[in-house]
This record gives sequence, structure tokens and C-alpha cells, in this order.
Amino acid sequence: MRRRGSACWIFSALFALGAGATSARAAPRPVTASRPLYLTRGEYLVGYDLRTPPPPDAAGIPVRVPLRLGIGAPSAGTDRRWVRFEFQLGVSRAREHIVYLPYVSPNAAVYLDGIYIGKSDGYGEPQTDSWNFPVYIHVPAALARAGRHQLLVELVPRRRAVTELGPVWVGTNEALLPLYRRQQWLQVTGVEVVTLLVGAIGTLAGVLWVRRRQETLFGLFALSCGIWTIRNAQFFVVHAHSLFYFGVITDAALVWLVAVLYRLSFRVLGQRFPRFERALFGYALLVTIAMLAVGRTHRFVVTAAGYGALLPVGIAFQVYLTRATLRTPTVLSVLLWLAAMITSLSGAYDLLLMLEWIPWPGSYLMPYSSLFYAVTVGWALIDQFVRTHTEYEHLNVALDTRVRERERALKKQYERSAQFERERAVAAERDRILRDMHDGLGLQLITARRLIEKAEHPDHQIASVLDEAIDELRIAIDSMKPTVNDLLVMLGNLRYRLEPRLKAAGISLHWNVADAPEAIRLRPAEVTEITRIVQEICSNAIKHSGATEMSLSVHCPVPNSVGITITDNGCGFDVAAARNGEGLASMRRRAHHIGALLTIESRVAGTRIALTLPAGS
Amino acid sequence: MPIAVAIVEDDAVLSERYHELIACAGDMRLEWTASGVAAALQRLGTAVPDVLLVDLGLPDGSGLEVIRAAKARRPECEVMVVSVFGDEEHVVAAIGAGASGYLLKDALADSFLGTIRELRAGGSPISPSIARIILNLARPPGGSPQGAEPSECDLAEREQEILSLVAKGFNFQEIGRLLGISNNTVKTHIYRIYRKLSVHSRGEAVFEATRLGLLDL
Repeated sequence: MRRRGSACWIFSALFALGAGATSARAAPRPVTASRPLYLTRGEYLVGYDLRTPPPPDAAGIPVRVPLRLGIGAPSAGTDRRWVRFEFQLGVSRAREHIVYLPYVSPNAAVYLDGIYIGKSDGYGEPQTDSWNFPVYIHVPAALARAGRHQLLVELVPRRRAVTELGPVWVGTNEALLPLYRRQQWLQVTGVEVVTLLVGAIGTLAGVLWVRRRQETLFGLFALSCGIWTIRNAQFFVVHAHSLFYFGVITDAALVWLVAVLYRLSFRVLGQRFPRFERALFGYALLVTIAMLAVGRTHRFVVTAAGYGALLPVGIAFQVYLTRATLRTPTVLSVLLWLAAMITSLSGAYDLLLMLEWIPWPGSYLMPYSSLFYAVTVGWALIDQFVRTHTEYEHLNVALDTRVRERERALKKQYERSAQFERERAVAAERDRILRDMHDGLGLQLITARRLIEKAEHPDHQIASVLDEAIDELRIAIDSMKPTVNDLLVMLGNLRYRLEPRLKAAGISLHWNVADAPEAIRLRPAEVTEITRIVQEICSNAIKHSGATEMSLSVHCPVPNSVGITITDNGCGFDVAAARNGEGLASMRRRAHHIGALLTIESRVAGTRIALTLPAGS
Repeated sequence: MPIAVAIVEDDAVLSERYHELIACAGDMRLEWTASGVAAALQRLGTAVPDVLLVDLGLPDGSGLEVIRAAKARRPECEVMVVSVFGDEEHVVAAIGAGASGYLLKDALADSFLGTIRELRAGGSPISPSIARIILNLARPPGGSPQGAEPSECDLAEREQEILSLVAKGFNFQEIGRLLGISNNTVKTHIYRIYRKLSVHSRGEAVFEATRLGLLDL
């Protein structure tokens, strides 16, 4: 919390000039090794503003520290203020004596008995900003003698900045070093650590947002962390390149921070107030532009007004946030509420500290409240990570289950369709067998029976009809076997069966299949029909041709097509006259059924029958 | 010395017919007949014939059992399976069990006696379908020669060649001519193939596999 610019600044400005009204002469006190001196009463050297230390008897009015000298005049950069303390050093064995200023702003140099002994870090030309750093000065041994001493603090006011001096400690190194270290850690190192953490977590959130732009919450987290980092920088940055712009940036950061944190809180609560949010950002922009525009001269007023206007908004927001969090208490909203609450409380503490309602020395706490925002962001990051992973795992499990269900359904469906296909195939096969039995075997048996009934036919004729019936039955049975799609095996089987009958009829059959492929694979229906046609041809030749030589040749002009040629040297027949005969008709019907071409040429010298089954028929 | 024939057949009509046919043949005599596995095994205990006719589908068991028992008692006993058409898988299973011939139930009289005489002379019948089944057993479809399990029976190249030609419908004379060997040599090869099948075959397994449609024949 910086006195020249903060939410509480307006109050400090109001009360600044009222300090130091009490007057009391500093009562010299002896210092011992165990008890350091705590100087709160001094003299303000009125009217002396040179850079050289004043003479010991320069006139002063008694003041009480902490001392505020208010806003420096426009020309304040050139003149100095001096405060004088007197104290008594007792006889001490301590080798090192210390003058310790826990709080001095913006810069100071210290003289003991008119001799310069040390300064704040930012003291010099040009003056820089070391307002937040405690000043720890070793007293040269020669000066630390027992007796009365005069301590001079040279304050270096800056334009538009409050010049302040806290109480002064004088004592031994052993006694003061722990105090100094504690103060240094609380005011500077701790803030640095917190700010580093906030910056790191903000960077994480920012990288996440860059990778996944739809995660706007993390964009806002990153932005707020970034602004906190800038805001906190004023507590430990001493040598800014330009104190003016650094001041503008750190001062304006608070307004921007308010705009971002409010929007962030609304998002976490699942709310949207677009006009109000836009108005806040517009306001932040306006304040920033105003700060830059008015320059050094009136920036103080602009900053005071800019912060002041936010006070009622801030109170209203805190009330809203509390009620909204009570309505939907998620971990994130509760953390955010806590962070906002801690920020408010630490702001109030800082204000009270500044107004001296809390005794010195104290440290500003508001930068530490950024830690709670960092925790909130960190928790949101972890929560997001855990949730994403859990969802991913659930999704995997769900997906697995669905895949399995789908597999089961598909399997069932496949089984159903396979079952259907099987039933269909069985039905088709049954139809075919029934047709074969009825048209072939049935017909032949009826013929045989009629022959027996008429009883005028010789037995051998009946035997021949029964032979045909048995042949027909064999083909029907063969057609149900797995080898049925191998044409040559089926023709071979036919030959194997017919051979004795051919031999009996005096026919020698030449089997010209040597050049054909080893296995001619056709559809079962095609093989069966071709076999029947060949059987019909052979049985016709046995019965009618009187041939002595017969030849069967099989060739495959192109893959999946097959040509069969059967010739004999028998008496032949009149193709035109036989056209309507049952044997030829059934051969043609069978050929047509499988899309094959049947050509019959018959002369006195013999018969030639060619059957061609084109590919893809 | 007439050929001693025994018959294991549960169909009385068929059994009677075989009986008559053998009685008429001068060079054969009927040793005994049985109508079931148990009876056959009992008969085999007393006399193992030169030629045994076995029906596979017996009321009290499989004819394969009878075949194995006969071959175990007297290896030179020739077993003929009585078969119906469309029964090639059973025939091959029977060959695996030790049969070296088969006979169709509806065979003509002279064919019946001729087959028995032929068998005694070392000639086993083989149809294209049976040749194809044996070939498929010897060369499982898609089986690679390297690293593959030894097949059901390892046929020599010449034997495979002969089986291929049989499967294409060629008869023994034609095969002999095509390969430049004698008719008898072809017969010897076929006989040897049958023996190999019975030595190497897991007859029952082959039978089961074909029955279940596991083997692509």
C-alpha cells in the first residue's frame, strides 16, 4: 500500500498534514546493548531546506514521528526537509551500533553529530523510489562513543508524493538486526516471493488459455495475475526507468485489477453483466488516460478521484459476492470470495496502519492478498486438470461400454442375417432337390412303372429306365456334396459310373481334359446342370448312336468360362426333327437355366455338341 | 484255394444277395456273416477271412471298429467297405482305418465279384471324388510347405500326380499312358496311397472333420 497512491490513499492525503501536532522535546535516554532506543520525538527544522546538514543549533519545532509532510510542492524535488533527534548513548561494549529507520519515504540520508553515516537505497541523483525499504545504517565506531548525540535525518521530498518518516531505532546490531530482518522480509522479500508465485501461476493459466482459447476463465485468471504482479512491483522495484510511467502503471493497475477481478468473479458465479463490465473497463481506460494526460502536476488528484469513485462500487460488489457465493457455493466461488474478502480486510488494515490506529512498526498486507488469488487460480488449474482427466476416463469407460454393446448388437445382427441366409439357402436347395426329384427321378420311375403295367416291353428296357433313374439319383446326391463346385471331379465321377455301360455298348471314350486347369470352380448349380447335360448326351449316344468312338474335351478359353465339346462317330440324327424331343428340350432348358450356349451339329458321320458357359454368366 | 470272404451287414436282403453271389462264384467261399459290431468282433476272434465286407452304419456301432480289429489280427486281410453313393467321406475314413477297397451297394453282380478279385490281385478302386478328398488331405488348402505342420499323409510327387489325374476323370490306362508307366504300376501306386492313408491317418478325425464340414473337400 503506497502512501502516494492506493485505495486508502485518499485518507492518508486528508490526514497527512495533521500529523506531528503534538510537541514534546525528545528526552535523551541512554542506550544499552539489550535495550535499543526507540525515538519517536524529534524536532522539525522549519525553514531549513538546504542539502547540507544544518548547524547543531538550527531552530526546530518539536514533532512526533511518524511524521507526514504532505504532498510535495511542485518544486519539491530541489529542496530538503530535516528532522533532528537527540539521544544519549551509554557505555557499551558492543562493537557495532546501528541507526535503523523502519519506514522513510521516499528517500533519506542520516547524519550523526553532523557527519554523514548512511542513506536509503534510492537516495542520489536522480532520486529513485525506495519508499518501502527499511534503512539500516552502521554507525562508525569512532562516532559511537558514550554521551549525548544528535541525529539528523535529511528527507528528500518528491513532487506529488507524501514525504514520511517513521520512528527511529538506535541500538546495537544484535538487538536491531532481527527487527530489521523481520521488517525487510515482511515488506520486501515476502512480497517478492508472493509476486513471483502469482506471476508463475498466472503464466501457467495464460499458457493454458493460449492453447485453449475457449477457456476464457483462464485468460481472466492470467490477466488478473499479471496485473497483480505489476501492482505488487511498486513494493520492491527501486530503480524504475521512468518513475512517472512506473507510477502511472502501478497506480492504474488497481483500477484494471478491479475490472478484471469483477468480471472473473461474475464468470466463476456463472453470471454476466456485460454493460457493467464494459463500463468498468471503460472507466479503467479513462482513469489511465487521465493519469497520463494530466502529467505530474495533477496526477495525484486524478488518482485520488479514480480510486475514490470505486469505493462504493467495491462495497456493493463485496455484498453481491457474499450473497451470490452463499447461493451457489462451489469451491472456486468460495475461494474467490475468500480472496476478495482478504483483499478488503488487508486493505482496511493497511488503511488503519497508515492512519496510525495500529501502532508502528507495521507492514502493508495488501500485496499478500494476491497470494489468495494465486491459490484460487492454482486450484482452478488443478481442478480443471483433474476434472478433464476424470471426464476423459469416464468417457473412455462409456465409449468402451458402447463399443461392446455395439459389437454385441452387430454380432446379434450378423447372426440373425447369417441365420436368415442359411435358411434361405436351405429353402432354395430344398426347392431345387424337390424339382430334380419330381422332374427327373419321379418321371423316370413313372415311366418304368408304365412300362411294367403295359407289360409288353422287354425287361432290358425297364432296366435301362431304372438305370437312368439311379444315375439321376446319383447326380442329385452328388450335387449336395462339398466337391460339387469342381467341374472336372463331377464329370470324372460321371465317367467313372458310365464307363462300364459305355464299354458294354462298345464305345470307347477319349477323355481330353489334360490341358484343362486342375480345378475348374463353378457355381454348384452350373456344375450340376452341365453334368446332367453331359449325362444326357452320353446316354443318348449309348442308346441311339451306334458309335464306337466318343470324345469329351474341356477347355477354358478365359478364366471362369468353360467350353465342353462332345463328339461321336455314330449315325447322327436330324436335329430339326429332334428339336421337340424331350431329351434335347430338357438339355436346352438346362443350358438356358445357367446361361450356357448349346450348339448341336449332327450328320451321318457323327454328332458334335458344344456347350459354352461364358464367364460371369 | 478259394478266397475266404466274410460279411458284416445288418440289411438281411443285401446280406442274402452277397451270400448268393459268393455261393455262385467258384473261386470264393463264405467264411461267416455277422449283422453287428459285437457279433463281427466275436467272429473275428475265431477266423479272419481273406476279404472282409463291412457296412459302416451298423446298429450297434461303427464298422470302422471292425476294420481296425480285422487289420490288427491279420494285416493281409483285405477290407472292402460297402458304400452307397455320396458316401466318399466315409469311404476315405474307412481307408484311414485300413480298408483298401469299397463296393457300391447297387453294384451289378459281375462288378461285385470283379471288385473282390481285383482287390485280391492288389487293385484298389478309386473314384475322382475320393482322389480329390485324399489330395486335399495331403495338401491342406493354403498350407505353406515351410514350417507347416506335417500334413495328414505325405504323398510322393508321383502319387499326387496320379491322384490329380484320377480327380480329373482319367482312368488307369490313360494315366499310365500320360505318365509313361504301366497300368499295373498305377494300381500299385493307388494301393500304396491307401496304405499310407491308413498308416498316417487319424481316420476318426478325418471322418469327424468331413462330417462337420471343417475340411474343405
